[in-house]
Amino acid sequence: MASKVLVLVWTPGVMTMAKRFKAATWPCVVMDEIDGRMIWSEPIVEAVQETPICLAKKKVEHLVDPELPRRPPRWRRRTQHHRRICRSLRTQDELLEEIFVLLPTAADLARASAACPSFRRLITDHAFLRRYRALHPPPLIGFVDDNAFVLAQPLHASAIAARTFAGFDFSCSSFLPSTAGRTWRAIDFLDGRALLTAAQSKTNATALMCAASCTTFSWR
Amino acid sequence: MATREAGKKMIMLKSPDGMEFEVEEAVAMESQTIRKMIEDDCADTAILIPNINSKILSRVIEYCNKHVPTTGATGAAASDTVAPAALAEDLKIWDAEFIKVNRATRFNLIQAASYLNIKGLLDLTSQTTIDTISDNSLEEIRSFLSTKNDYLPEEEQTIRRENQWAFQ
Repeated sequence: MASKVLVLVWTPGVMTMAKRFKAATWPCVVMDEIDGRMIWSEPIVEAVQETPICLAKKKVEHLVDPELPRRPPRWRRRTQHHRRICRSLRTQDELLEEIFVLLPTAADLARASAACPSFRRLITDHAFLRRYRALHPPPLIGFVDDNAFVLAQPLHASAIAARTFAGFDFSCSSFLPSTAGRTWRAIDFLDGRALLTAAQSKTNATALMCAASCTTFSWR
Repeated sequence: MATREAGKKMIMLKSPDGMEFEVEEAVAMESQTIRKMIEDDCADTAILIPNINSKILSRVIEYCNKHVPTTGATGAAASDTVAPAALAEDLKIWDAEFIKVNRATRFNLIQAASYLNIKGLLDLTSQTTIDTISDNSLEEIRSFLSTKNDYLPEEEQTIRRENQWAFQ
C-alpha cells in the first residue's frame, strides 16, 4: 500500500489540481463530505484510510515536487526554437568576420584587408583585432637590448614582418613626456611592455612609466 | 509531418518558398538546431527553415545525406565492403566537388551551416575560404570571393606599402 497519499478535500476546481498532482507522480485521491460522512473516490480507499494526510487546499501547493521541471507547452517550445533560429541568422559581414578570425597568420589578415575596402573596414575594427589577438598570440618581432632594438633575423618565422620595423624609432620619444633634459631609459621588459625611467640616480624622485606594448605597432 | 516509413522516422523540412523536403530523422539530426527541436518534441509538423531558399536547402540536405554516420544494418554492410580510410578519402573528394560553387551560393551555404549549426559543413565552407586567402595572391583572393577592387590605385599602393611584409 502506498504510504504517502495526498487527500484533497472537495472544492471547486479540485479535479484540475488532482490531475496536476497525478502528473507529478503523487498518488492522490479526492474526498467529498456529505452530511458529515466521508466519501472517498475509488480505487485506493483502503490505502487512504491507513495513512491519510489531509491538507487544506492552500497548503497543497507546496507539495508539488520542486525537482520536477515544469515543461512549457509545445506551442511555446516551438516559438522559442523559431526565435532562436531567427536570432542566429548572421549578416554577411558577421560571417566574414568569423572566417577572418580563423586565418592562421597576421600576413593573411593584412593581405585580405588589401582585397577590398569592406574587408579592410572589418579587419581594422578594434573589437575584431582584440578577438584575433586573443586567439593568435602576437608574433615576436624582436627584443630590446641596451636600448637598441634587435629585429628578428631570417630563419625566424616573423623575420619578414620584423623587417618592416627596420629604422623604426623605438625610443618612444614621440609620445613620452619631456623630462627636462634627462633621457628615458628602459629598465625592464615584461610581456611586451617596457618599464622606463627618467630619474637621476642621486635623487629619490623617480619617474616610472609603462610604455605601450611594442606589439601594438604592428597594428595600424 | 513526422511519419514512419520502413522503421525510419521522417522529418519534413520546409523552405520559405514553399518547397517541402522529407528527410530521414538521422539526416536532419546532423543539424544541431533541428536535433534540439526533435529532442524537444517539436518536429511533429513541418519545420520551417527561414531564409534558406529551396536551392540551398536541397544542397544542405545533400551534404547531410552524404555525411550522416552510417550505423545500423546498412552501415555495417557498407563498412564491410569498403575500408573506412577509403570511405573518408571518397568523402573528401566529394566535399571538394561539393564546394565548387559561386560566391553567392557559398555564402548562403555558410549562412545556412551557421544557423542550422552543422559543424562539418561550416568547417568545410569556412576552411575553403581561409585556404584561398592564405595561399593565393591578392588578385586570386578577389576573384575567389568575387569582390570588386574598390580602392583607388594610390590607396591600394599605400596599403601595399604599409603591409609590404605580408606580400613577400
